[in-house]
Amino acid sequence: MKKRSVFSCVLLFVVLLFGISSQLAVPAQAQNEKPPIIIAYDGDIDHIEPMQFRSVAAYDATANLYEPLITQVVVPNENGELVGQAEFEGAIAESWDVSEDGTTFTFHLRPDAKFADGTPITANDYKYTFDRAITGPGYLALLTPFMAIDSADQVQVVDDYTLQITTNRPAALTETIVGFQVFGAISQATAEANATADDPWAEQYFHQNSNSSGPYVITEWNQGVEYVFEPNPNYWRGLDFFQNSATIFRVVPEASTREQLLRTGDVDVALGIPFSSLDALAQDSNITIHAIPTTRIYHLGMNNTIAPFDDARVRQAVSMAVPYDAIIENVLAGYGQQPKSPVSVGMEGYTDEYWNYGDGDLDAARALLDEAGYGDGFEIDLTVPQEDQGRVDAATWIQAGLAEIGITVNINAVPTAQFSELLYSHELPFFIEQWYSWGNDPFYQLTFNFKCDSFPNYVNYCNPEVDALIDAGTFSRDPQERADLIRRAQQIIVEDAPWAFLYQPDLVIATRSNVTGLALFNDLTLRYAYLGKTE
Amino acid sequence: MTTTPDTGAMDNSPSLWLTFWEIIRSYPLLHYLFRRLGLALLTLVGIVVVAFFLTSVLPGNPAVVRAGPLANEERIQKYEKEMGLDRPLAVQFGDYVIHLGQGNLGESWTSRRPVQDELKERLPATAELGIAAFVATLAISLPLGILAAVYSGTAIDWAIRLFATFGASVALFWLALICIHLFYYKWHIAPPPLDRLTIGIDEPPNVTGFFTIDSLLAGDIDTFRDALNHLWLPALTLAFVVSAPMTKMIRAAMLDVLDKDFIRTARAVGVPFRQIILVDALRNAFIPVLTTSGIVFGYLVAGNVIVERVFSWAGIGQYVWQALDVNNLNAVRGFILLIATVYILLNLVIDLLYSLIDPRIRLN
Repeated sequence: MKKRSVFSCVLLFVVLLFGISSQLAVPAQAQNEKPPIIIAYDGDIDHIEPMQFRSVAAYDATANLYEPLITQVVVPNENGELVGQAEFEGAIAESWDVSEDGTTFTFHLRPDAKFADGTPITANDYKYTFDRAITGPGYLALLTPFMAIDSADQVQVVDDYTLQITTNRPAALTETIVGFQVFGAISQATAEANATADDPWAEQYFHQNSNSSGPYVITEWNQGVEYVFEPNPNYWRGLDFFQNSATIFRVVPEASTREQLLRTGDVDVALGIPFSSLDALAQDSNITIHAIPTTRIYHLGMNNTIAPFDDARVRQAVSMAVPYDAIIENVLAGYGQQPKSPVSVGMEGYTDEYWNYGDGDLDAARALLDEAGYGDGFEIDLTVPQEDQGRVDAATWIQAGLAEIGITVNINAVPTAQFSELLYSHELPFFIEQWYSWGNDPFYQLTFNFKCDSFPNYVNYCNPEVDALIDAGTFSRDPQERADLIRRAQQIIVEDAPWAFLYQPDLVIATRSNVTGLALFNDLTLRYAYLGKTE
Repeated sequence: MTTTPDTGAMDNSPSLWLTFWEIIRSYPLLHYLFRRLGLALLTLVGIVVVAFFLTSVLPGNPAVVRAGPLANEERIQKYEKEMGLDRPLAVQFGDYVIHLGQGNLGESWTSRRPVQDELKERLPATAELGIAAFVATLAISLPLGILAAVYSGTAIDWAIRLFATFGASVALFWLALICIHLFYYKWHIAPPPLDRLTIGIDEPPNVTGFFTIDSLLAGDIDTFRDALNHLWLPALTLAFVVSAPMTKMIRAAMLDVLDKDFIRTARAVGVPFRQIILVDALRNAFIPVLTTSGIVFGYLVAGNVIVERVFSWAGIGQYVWQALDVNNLNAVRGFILLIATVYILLNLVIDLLYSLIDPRIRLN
């Protein structure tokens, strides 16, 4: 008995050692074959239903599964990154015409484009997709008003390969919205085959499945672990377009694990590397840090209908006392920039000319508080989501900055789910929130955040003149008119100071140095097909 | 137990029950088993209640989370209706219990799949890691505990106690990071901390869900080696921390036993020392060790959330971590119920084992 157990212990250790010593090698790639790309993600795909809100990683997945009619033109920058432009080119639509008055859009589809199952992609499928968006399950009905569309009847099938969209009036963002990944073609036949009486839009089916119209198909679905994206053999651009043989999505929740995997070369791309690790990682000659400026804007929200922030002078004083540079230097390790307007830096029409809160003149801030009747300061809770370390850290800098002008800030870090609920109640007086406009458009951004009746306007800002300016710009296709409108809107909002504009963090993606073709569109999701490797 | 003699139609059932009960009573082990199972069931009922209401008061509305940043009141209300959140909590609870009775843990609000399916997929990863870590814990702490007791007060004892103190005070998260840094990044003797198999190696045909066992059953030595290769480092990391209290426990129990009269007698009559230690003393020291094992095992199954995270190990620990983030309440409840059930069953088994190890313990 005794001897047997000793023996089995020894055996166990021998087996263990055996296991350790025999590293299994991944089969070597043939010389001229395209390599697979392995990406370490910081999050998981929750579902791939293309029209419902989902995790960040899931938007990456759907961007590679659903192909819109038209798509952004990408141009390489000086670092070799491919950056989406304001211009569009045909995707499933070969070409499109816009009527003289800017309200009728006719899309001419490629006759040879097919879904992954081999069936042709026709105008009927896009009609179904738009119907589903406007009347179906997801949130997209909130986007179609930007195209001046409020009814599914405005999308018409002319013939199998011609689709016509008629808008109520000229709208600046029609092409932009049509080009969103969320308006990528859903196969009507697949949807109808999987629809049930309780589930007329086949939501259940599309949560885990797709009949891809985009560049990839998912060939392995192992939730929480791995997803394998292989080129869709029916993709309209053909297989030569792909720079990799497959893209392997691995879920790696811990940041330092992702870092070490990248250093060792076991993954090619690592997402979600904390700003604080970037400088050390950049020392490694085999690693390239891609820090791409984005228009994602973090802001300190001050509720315009709750005292003391119902007084513009208080909001202005706070805007003066926030230590902007220190936040960007310490919280973002310098990987970011400071917006000086509700329109993000890098967006059409951005101007900093009305922002005069930044000369560090705290006496002016104190004077404003005094005028508003808060000469002795006040005490206020600043609410942030506790899972976002960046926002928690920024809050401590704001706390220190506002202490200088007599405002006592208590940081209230709450779980993200609770933060959202508080925010949505429109009753949070003081919070840090962020916003990213997929359309990368200033009027789109202001519509959601500052129009009186907009739901995400969590600061309850309301100014009829601003509303009118936003509407006029949204429904104008004249660049000069839009430029004038957005300038005036920025002037008013900066002066009213409903937000203190904190920072725009760069989108940071760390890759092995031999990785090429990092492509970023307006939705900030990765398009895998461009990713390749030299050598 | 009720007897209802006035219902003529069922007049033989009470006596049947009585006979059944008397048979059970005449076998102490069976009687004990039934009583314990009854208690376990009661405990579970309590846990269902606590799990349901505790998760319901979690801050944050799941419908709000699901609606996302581009939300409006109408959409949030629509989701609340769809998810059943618009009904009174008592009604929701009744619904949950009815579904539970049908073996249905509800739908995961993110993936729209049944929670029991998702847990079933994830449980083997956690169980395999937990069991491997438990075996490693015994392999470490048994010899160390015995050595420390036998050489009590010497340098060996001090060294082992130092080790145990270190193990008890080290943070698991930090230890896991250090282990990856050293064994994987620096010395290249561990594979990439990416789940349970190397990229490109297929999972073995599913029998137990344990890749090491399934691959052996399929006769696939390469996959077995790969699975073991991925398993040893996270298992040892966990074992290192858990073996600290275990070692201390074994040492204390052994010291206690070694002091007993029967050991002294055995030594006096010349029984070989090794036999005294490994047979007589160890067997007697096993009761407290078993008690600790129950706690330790529960900790291994439920508490390796950290190790799973650092090693990208897709077990139920990671599952519940993600579920908590988005207030996916059914998933969290399912996790709590699963862990509670495992824990209750384990304690039951341990209690039964007591009587096998120590005939002095009577079951009644």
